[in-house]
Amino acid sequence: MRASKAFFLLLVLIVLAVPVSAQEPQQVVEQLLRQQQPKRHLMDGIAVGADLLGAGLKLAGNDWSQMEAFVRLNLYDKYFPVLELGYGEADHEGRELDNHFAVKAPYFRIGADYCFTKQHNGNRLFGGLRYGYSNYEYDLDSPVPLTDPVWQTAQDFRHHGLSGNTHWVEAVFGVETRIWRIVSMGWDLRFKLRASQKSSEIGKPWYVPGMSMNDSSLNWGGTFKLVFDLTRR
Amino acid sequence: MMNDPLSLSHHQEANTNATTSPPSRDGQEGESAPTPKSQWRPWHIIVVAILAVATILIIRQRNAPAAPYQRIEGAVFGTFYHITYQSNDQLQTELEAEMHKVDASLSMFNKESIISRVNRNEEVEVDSLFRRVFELSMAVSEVTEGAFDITVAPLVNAWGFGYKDETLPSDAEIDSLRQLVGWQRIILTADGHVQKADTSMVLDCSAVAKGFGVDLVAEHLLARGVSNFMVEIGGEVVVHGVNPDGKLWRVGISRPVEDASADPTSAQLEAVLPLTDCAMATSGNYRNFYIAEDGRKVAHTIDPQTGRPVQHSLLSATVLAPTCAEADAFATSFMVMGIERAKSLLGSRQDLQVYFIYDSLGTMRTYTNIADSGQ
Repeated sequence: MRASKAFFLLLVLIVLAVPVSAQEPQQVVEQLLRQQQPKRHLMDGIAVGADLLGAGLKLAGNDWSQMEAFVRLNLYDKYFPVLELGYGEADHEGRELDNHFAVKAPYFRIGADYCFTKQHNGNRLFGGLRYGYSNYEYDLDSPVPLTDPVWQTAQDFRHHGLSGNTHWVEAVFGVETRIWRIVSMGWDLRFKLRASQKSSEIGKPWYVPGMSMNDSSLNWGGTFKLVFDLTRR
Repeated sequence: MMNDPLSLSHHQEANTNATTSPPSRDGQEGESAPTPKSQWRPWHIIVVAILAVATILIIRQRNAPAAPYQRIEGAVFGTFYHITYQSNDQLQTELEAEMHKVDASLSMFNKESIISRVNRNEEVEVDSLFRRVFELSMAVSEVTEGAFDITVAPLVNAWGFGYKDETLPSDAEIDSLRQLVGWQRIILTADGHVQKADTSMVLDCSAVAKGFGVDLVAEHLLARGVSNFMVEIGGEVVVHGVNPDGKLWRVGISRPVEDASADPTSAQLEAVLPLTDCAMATSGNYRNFYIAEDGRKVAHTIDPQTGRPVQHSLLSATVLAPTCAEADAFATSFMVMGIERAKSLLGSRQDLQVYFIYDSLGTMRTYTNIADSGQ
């Protein structure tokens, strides 16, 4: 492999001998290095992966967690369109109101990342955008009767199968590095903006699958990813 | 008598004459100079002694350290109570006993309470607490033309907490339930028995019981000679005398908020009222806001007369009244009546002062007659 590279360099030097003589040495080196880089293709690879952080939350006994996998294209090793599919669930006991919230539902996000690093060695610094959507049914109930705010009468509070959906967008910033052969790992930070939400008059969901907590229209989160680059040469 | 100078001078003159009458010890009548004698008499000594003792007591009273203000709190009626009172005595046990009397009489959660037994149509003679609350409830129902009704529970429960379209009760169900509702269809006999027009009727005094509990605690404190105190149970308040700074008690009115999960201790205050010797209660539809298509916030609660939710702009009603039970009952009534009907009623009730928070074209506004009445 090294012999073929040396031969290639020698060949290039011979072919470019006349023009090179008219250029500065530094320019020549840069030109050679550029030519040394493998040619990038429109479809430069495909990768699949999973978010370990969401699954870790479940193992840690968190009252919400999500299992998530993704498939990602590599265009020119610069642009990375990605589809993220997941399944989020929550089982939460409210502290103030003695209420209980539960949800289990799938979600998806679609978007793309842009790689800022110029070296194509598998170490990537990237930023991107996502659009996310989840359609879900959730439960709101209370182990003790709630009181009507005006009449103060006690009433059972058990509402199951309340339907809702949420659209949101995310700004993503992260890093990724090759660990071994086709295996890479990385993490990212995500700033999430709830774009619209449909929920029951009875109460809003405490957690939205894929979007995390629902306590604010602007939220943040992150992932810790394990990536398998299926087409790495 | 002591303050009558004429009678005193007359008496002195009589005494003076009396000293000249007795003969001298050696029989030389009229020769020796008159011996000066004391003008004090036993009743003088008694008066002076009383004055001296009273003066000492007053001085001691003034110099004695004032009784400390004590603050106690705990859970009752499914909520929390906070009581601040000035006394040397620890009164928590007996004050909680007063609250438990209300629980034993009027609690819907206590299966052995009198009201629970009445609702099960058991043979039970009501106690004096039940009678007081029942009679007050009937009086408020009459004044508010049925906006307040302690028999409304079946309708409230049918509509449910935070009802939604798919669970709305049908017209037939509402008409059926209305047969079980009506304050004029229950009476309390002289011998202490509740008679219902229908045995399925249910009495629920929750809208007034909490305020009544506050009254009972306040009455107990007054009976124990405590004159400076504030009693609060779940937001219903009675204040008397002055606060630890020697000023009027300051009681806050919370701003209605949409988020039911919001921490109540972080609630924003709409106003702070300096109060003494009165009761205050607030009824708010905080959890049942409904945003209309034009952006207005409207509140809905069940009107006992129609059996259906009423929607109006009144978001919270705070009432000042002589007793907390009255304040509690009228605050609930006004939430059902809406702001215009409430204002109309206030014209004939000078003993009620209100602070309303309502929505006007998407903006939160207030109405109060507290300044008018000089509170």
